[in-house]
Order: sequence, then structure tokens, then C-alpha cells
Amino acid sequence: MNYIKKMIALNRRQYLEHRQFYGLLALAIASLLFLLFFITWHWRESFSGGVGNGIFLIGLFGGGAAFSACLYQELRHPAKTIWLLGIIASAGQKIMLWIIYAVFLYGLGYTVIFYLIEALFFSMASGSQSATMKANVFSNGFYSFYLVFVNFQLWLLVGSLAFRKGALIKTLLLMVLYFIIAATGNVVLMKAMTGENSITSSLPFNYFQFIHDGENIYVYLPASIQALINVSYNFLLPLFLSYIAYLKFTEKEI
Amino acid sequence: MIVIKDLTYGYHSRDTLFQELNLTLPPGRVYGLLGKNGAGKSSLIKNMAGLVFPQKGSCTINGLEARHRRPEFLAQLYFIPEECELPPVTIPVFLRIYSVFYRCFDETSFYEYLRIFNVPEKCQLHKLSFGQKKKIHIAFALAANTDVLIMDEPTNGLDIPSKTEFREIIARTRRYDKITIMSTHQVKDLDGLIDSVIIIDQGRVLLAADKEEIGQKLSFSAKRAGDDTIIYGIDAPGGRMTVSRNTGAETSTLDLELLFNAAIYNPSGIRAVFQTQ
Repeated sequence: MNYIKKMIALNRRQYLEHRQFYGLLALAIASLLFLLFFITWHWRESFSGGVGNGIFLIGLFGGGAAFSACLYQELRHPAKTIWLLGIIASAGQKIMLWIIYAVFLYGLGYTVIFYLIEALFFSMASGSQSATMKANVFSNGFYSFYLVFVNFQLWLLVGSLAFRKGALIKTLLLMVLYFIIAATGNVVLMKAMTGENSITSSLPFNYFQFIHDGENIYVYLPASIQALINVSYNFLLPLFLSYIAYLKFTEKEI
Repeated sequence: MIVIKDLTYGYHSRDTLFQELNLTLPPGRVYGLLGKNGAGKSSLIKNMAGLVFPQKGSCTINGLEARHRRPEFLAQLYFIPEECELPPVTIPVFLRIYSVFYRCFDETSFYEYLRIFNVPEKCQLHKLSFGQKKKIHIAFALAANTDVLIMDEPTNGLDIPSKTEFREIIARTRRYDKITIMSTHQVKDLDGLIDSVIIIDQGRVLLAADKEEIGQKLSFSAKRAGDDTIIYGIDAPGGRMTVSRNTGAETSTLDLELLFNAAIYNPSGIRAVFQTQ
């Protein structure tokens, strides 16, 4: 069986064994989105613009984590792991299929569901502010969250292969911990480097903000370095994470 | 052929279960891997299947290293674990998914084995009992026709009629040029099914021999105590049953349970006869 045929066979397996879950998850996500649209529309005076984008992100990342939890469930049960490892395909093919499902198929499927629900909801709930409440995912660089989502899903994959128990929770907690440490650590680092004590916030590899004469001043990295970091973060990091996942999978023991 | 060379394995680096273990299993035989609970049977067959990795040494099937789990290696092997899980699909869907991976899969045989096992063909696999799941695994494994078939405690979870059906199926399946390994601590279940016996205890191979060799070197019979050829004996309702050195051309029927007990309780006696490590 050649590479393509094997990938098709693996895909058939992945789909047929989990199709019930995929259907239920799609239904759950659609219901959640509908509820969130309803809440933000009903109390629309309490929300500022761009609510639709916020809802989009909640579903993208929350649903993505739930989807990953199902996708990697075979790694949590020894009997299922034995079965998975015994399937006649290379470790690379099995990892590749997971990435296709967790990143691309989920991302695509979720976007379609989101826009369908949004269109359905706002066809029923019309009002003066409904136009401003709609999501605008593909403008103003907002789509870059898709790239963050790729890394997020790949971290979950690596976490599922690294931890034997409670992999999803542990990985999510580690990600939160990383952001807390990175953000506060960056403030401390910037203070030490610049001698400026009024730095109030920062984002690692991006910017820091300080107060000068009562004004918020933002200091960004030079554009060329920022571009380099963006390439590393959005393209090289996913490749590294995929390779780490592959290596972890080849080392997987029962 | 399975070749285990200088295999050192342990759950932790300090605590080794096997120390430089060597074993060669030629094709065309059914091997019974026997040992007490915790003797290391499962660890040994998991090493063979590439599910755990040795600290030192190697384990190869037809020249392919198990720990690499290359597709060519996986295509030669079917491993049935002690605890079986099946996906939430029906039997036809299960076949549609998995049979394509096995080049020599025989669908007719698969359904025939299911009929012998009395497994309903229209059912959701994940809703079946433990024993039924195991039967489907066994039927699929035999139909897959891989060069090596490894079964870890195959009769665990099977009721008495199912054990009989299992014996019937294994006896009917003639895997002439292939290797079948059945690991169990329930020695009686394999009586009459196997061609070769491997007994391990505390990480050591106490005995690895064909039934013919065992018949030539050992005798299973009722003997009085005091005979210096006796390696092991136990009082039974019909008299004292013994395993003794076969000094002449004595023929006797292999009693697997008696042999197992002899290897466990008098390992040096058995090793002396078979000149194992």
C-alpha cells in the first residue's frame, strides 16, 4: 500500500470510528455559539464592538481543546494505545493524520459552523447594532489567531504524548503558566534592561508599555526583527512541535 | 524467525527484569510461553512486539528491529493484548477499516471463526463483553495471516465453552510457516495446542524446547519416591506423578502442568537436563 492509500485508510479509520463524536461536537459547538450570540445580542448595550470576534475565539480554542481530547484518547488507554501502535503505518503518517484533523479539519469545520450559526442568528435577531456585532475574522490581521491556534493544537498534541494521565489539563495549565511567567518575566527583564520603572505591561518578543508624563508609551521591536520573530513563531515553531510530536510518538511505550 | 539477543530490560534502569536474555524462535511452530504471574511473560512479548524497548540488546522479527516499529515490521505481526478494546463500529465497518492494512487478510475465514465462536455478526463492537471482544480479536488475528501472531493470555476472559472453541480454532488453523506465541499462566489451556514450550521465571528462561525434545529427555509417569531420576513429583489421586529424566527410550505423554511445576520448583534440575543458561 503506497503512502497516499495508507493515509486514505488511516483517514477512513479516524472518521468512521469517531464520526458520532464529530457530529455531537459540531452540535455542541453550534449550540454554544448560538447561546453566546444570544447573550451578547440580548445584553448588547453591555458589550462593545468586536463581540463576534471574541465569540469566534472562544469556540476556536475551547472547541479545539475538546476536539483534541477526543482525538488523542487512544493514548490514554494502554489497550487502545497497543492497537494504535500496531496499525500498519509509520509514526509519521499517524502524527500527520492527527495534525490534519486537529489543525486543518477542525479549523475549517469550525469556521464554517461559526459563519452558518452567525448568519442564522442574525437572520432572526435583527437590530440597529447587529451589523457591528458580527465577526470580522478575515480582516485587520485577526486571522493571525489561526496561526496561534495551530501552535495551540500542536502543544496539545505534544502534551498528550508527553503526559500519561490528565494530559489535556496539564498541558493547558502549563500554557497558562508559561504566559504568566513570560509576561511578568518580560516586564522584569525590560525594567532591568531599560532602567524604566513605570513599565506596566508587555508581551514577550513584541512590545512593552510604560507611562511617561501620564501618557502610555508603547515600544515595539524593530520591524525587521519582529518579522523574523513572526516567521519563527508562526512557521518554524509548528514545524518543531510537529517534529517533537513525531519523536515522542516513536518513543511511546506501553 | 524471532531472534532475541542479549536482551536486558527493566521497568526502571536500576531494576532489570531480564539480563542478557537470548532466545531464537524459528517459524512453523506454536510456542507456549509459560510463567507465573509477574514472571515477565508480558514484558517479553511486548519487547517482541516493539511495545516496550530494551535497555540493551535487540529483538528482531525476520531481521527487523522491533523497537523501530517500521510498517514492514508491523505488517508481519499481530499482537493480541490481555485486555482488548474495540472501536464503536459494527463488524462490517471494522473489517472495512482494518482488513485493508493486511495484505493476506481472509474475510471468509474471519466470518467462519466468528461462527465457531458464536459471536453475532450484527453488533456494536464496543458494547460486547470482554470475552466476546477477545474472540473478535482472535478471529481477526488469525484471518490476518501475519507471519507472527502473539497472544497475551488468550484464554483470559473466555468461559469454558469459549475455551473449547478457542482450542478448536487454533487446532484448525494451520500456520505451517509462521510463528504463533501464546503466553499464559493457565498452563492447562494450552495442553495439546503447542509445539514448543518456553518457561520463564524471574526474568530467566528455565526451559525452551520442542515437545519432541522434551519427550526424549523427560518422562512423565507414576513413580515411587527414591528414584534418583525424578526431577519433580506430586501426589495425585492415582499415585505419585513425576517428571524424571528419560534414561531410556521411554515414551510418555507430555503433562504441561507437571512440566511447568518441575521447572518452577526445580529449575536447576530442568536446566541440567536441557542445558539452558
